[in-house]
Amino acid sequence: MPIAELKDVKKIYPLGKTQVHALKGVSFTIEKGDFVSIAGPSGSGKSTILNLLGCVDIASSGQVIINGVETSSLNDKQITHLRHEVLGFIFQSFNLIPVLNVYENVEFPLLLGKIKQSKAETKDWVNHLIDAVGLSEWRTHKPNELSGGQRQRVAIARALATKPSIVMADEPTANLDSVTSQAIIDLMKKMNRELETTFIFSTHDQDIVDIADHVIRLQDGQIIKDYKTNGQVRQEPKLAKVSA
Amino acid sequence: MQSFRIAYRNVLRQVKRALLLGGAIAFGFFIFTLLNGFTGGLLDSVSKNFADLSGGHIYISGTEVSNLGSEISVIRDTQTAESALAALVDQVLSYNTRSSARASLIAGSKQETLQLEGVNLSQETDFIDSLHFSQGSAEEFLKNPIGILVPEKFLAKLGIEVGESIVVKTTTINGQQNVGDVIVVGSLKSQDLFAPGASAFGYAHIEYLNKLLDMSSSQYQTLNIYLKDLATIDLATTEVLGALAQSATVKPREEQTFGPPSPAQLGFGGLSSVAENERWKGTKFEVTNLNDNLQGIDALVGVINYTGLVIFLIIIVIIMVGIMNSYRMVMLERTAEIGTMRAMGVQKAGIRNIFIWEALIVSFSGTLLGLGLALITMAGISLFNFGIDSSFSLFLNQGQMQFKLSFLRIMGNILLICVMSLAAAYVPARAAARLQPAEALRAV
Ligand SMILES: Nc1ncnc2c1ncn2[C@@H]1O[C@H](COP(=O)(O)OP(=O)(O)OP(=O)(O)O)[C@@H](O)[C@H]1O
Ligand SMILES: [Mg+2]
Repeated sequence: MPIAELKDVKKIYPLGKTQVHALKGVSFTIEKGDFVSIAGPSGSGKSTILNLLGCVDIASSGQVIINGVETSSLNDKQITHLRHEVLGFIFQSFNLIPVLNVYENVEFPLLLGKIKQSKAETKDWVNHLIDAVGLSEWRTHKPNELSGGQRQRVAIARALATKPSIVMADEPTANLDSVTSQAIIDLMKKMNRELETTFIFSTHDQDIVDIADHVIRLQDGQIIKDYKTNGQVRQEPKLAKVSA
Repeated sequence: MQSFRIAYRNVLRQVKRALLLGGAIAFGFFIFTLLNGFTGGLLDSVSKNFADLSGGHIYISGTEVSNLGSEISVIRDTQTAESALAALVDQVLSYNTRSSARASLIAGSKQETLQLEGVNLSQETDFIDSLHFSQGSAEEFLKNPIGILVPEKFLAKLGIEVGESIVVKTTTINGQQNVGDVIVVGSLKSQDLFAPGASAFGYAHIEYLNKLLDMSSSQYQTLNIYLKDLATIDLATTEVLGALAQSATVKPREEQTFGPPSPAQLGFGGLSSVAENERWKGTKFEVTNLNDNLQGIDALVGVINYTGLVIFLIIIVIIMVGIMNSYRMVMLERTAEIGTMRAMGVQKAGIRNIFIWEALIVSFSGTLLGLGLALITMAGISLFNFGIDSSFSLFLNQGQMQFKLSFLRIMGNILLICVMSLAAAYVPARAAARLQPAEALRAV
């Protein structure tokens, strides 16, 4: 069973008296554990797709299926719950909560809803994630004391805190220089392998597109290419789960 | 509690805004609490001063119809009057009997009029202590049966010194002019009355005044009773009236005209005659109490409290508008943040609660600050002695301003402000909660 699926999805935005057809009937499936890139020029509909997959927006028509659940059947409370349980987010402009420090930002999603872990377990897990993204020294710093690359590392740790099945990353490297971008993508890739988390990220940077196992190319709200890059990469034995 | 933590941090993040909003709330609450405390204390101080001045809490006066048909103010039936004391049994703290008259003091070519109270110092042991002497002393007054005490400004007006003998002129209860010699044995710091037309007070021994008024020394015009507990004053008044009614005519309470003593009692305007068919035999008793006299003050306190309430309501409206606008701005500033939280799985209620907590934290701290400031200010003011001869001494307790606050009322007001803040924050909070996550996330 695919972890995410779009079936003939259309998205129309109202724009004044006219309408923008951002997606003109898009279908694809994403397999669990894949490192997926949504590529395409500006305005092609990348963010729109990620918003729909991320359940922060609703399709005008067609089906969005996440983890086997047809999302249009859910109410706001259920969708919010689904986002919390199944999805993680990484944003172009990092979007950390400014009043919380690094540790608290990563911990934040774990304190929402029903708390399933003991305090000690939560603490260990958060610290583990912070170590994994290389910010052990910055635990108590507030976002405004960090560089862009560091902020995005915090965002990655935060997106993984609830052990989601899928992490959505809309142009996670657009605000970073190329070296930092490469490091961030490498980190995402590392987490993808270690935690078997599916990552779906959008970009228009060709160097980054190539790292993906599965590429969906968009133009003008339509898929022009949907291909797997290198079977081997996906077939590679997974590393032991760090969280065990 | 996640919402509370974020809210608390947000308040700290925008200290300036919090201070401005909280400061406005604090200021409003400060003024309102101060007013409340002032009027609360005012009523207490005025009650006490008024009781001191009028010599009791319940006043029994009596009038008779003379042979000529005029109404004269005297209690000759002292036995009936004193049956009232028996009726109250152990509610009475103390009592005293007084006569009083409008009298002119004459020194050479100068003449001044005052209200001369005839006091029985063997009954009114505390009375002497409640006076504030500027010259002379209580001892000299006690020693001298024809001694009188006058307000200090009378000395200058009459051009006399303490110790001098002067002439006093008054009208007897029967309406005849009478004069006598008195010695000014002391002068008193004046306690100006707030009531318009009220006169200055002087004091003489009741035996002497009775003589001047053509009454026997055992008679009096009013019997004043101090109660142990002021709370039961109206009940006690009714009991007194009932006791008197058993053996004499009484004026029903609903027929009484409240306020200062009647002209007949004060001895001016001559004697009023009683119509043939309305005449009565013996003494007709009238019973009034401190509350009757305080009706004017009650009204004043009412007005101040009402003004305070209006100020309070205006403040609440300002606070509500302030909170509503502030949080509408906050919502715009934090749209992306809200979108992020929603994406991460914060429910609508969670977003709403952040706003509500923020408003509550600010308004609650504001009221506490205002209350604290008000308490400090009250403590400060009550340390200060304005002097007993200041023009508003009647509102003071021995020259000091008294404040009294009701704990329940303060709690109620704090609750009210918090609830109103909550209501005001609710509108933008709900708007923030309703933001579409995708839309909110676009606002970076
Ligand atoms: N909320 C909106 N209202 C109106 N039009 C929108 C809205 N969001 C996106 N669009 C339009 O839909 C189309 C697709 O937008 P989308 O943001 O998905 O593109 P994108 O591939 O993410 O572009 P970029 O690389 O610039 O981020 C564009 O033409 C855009 O102008
Ligand atoms: Mg985009």
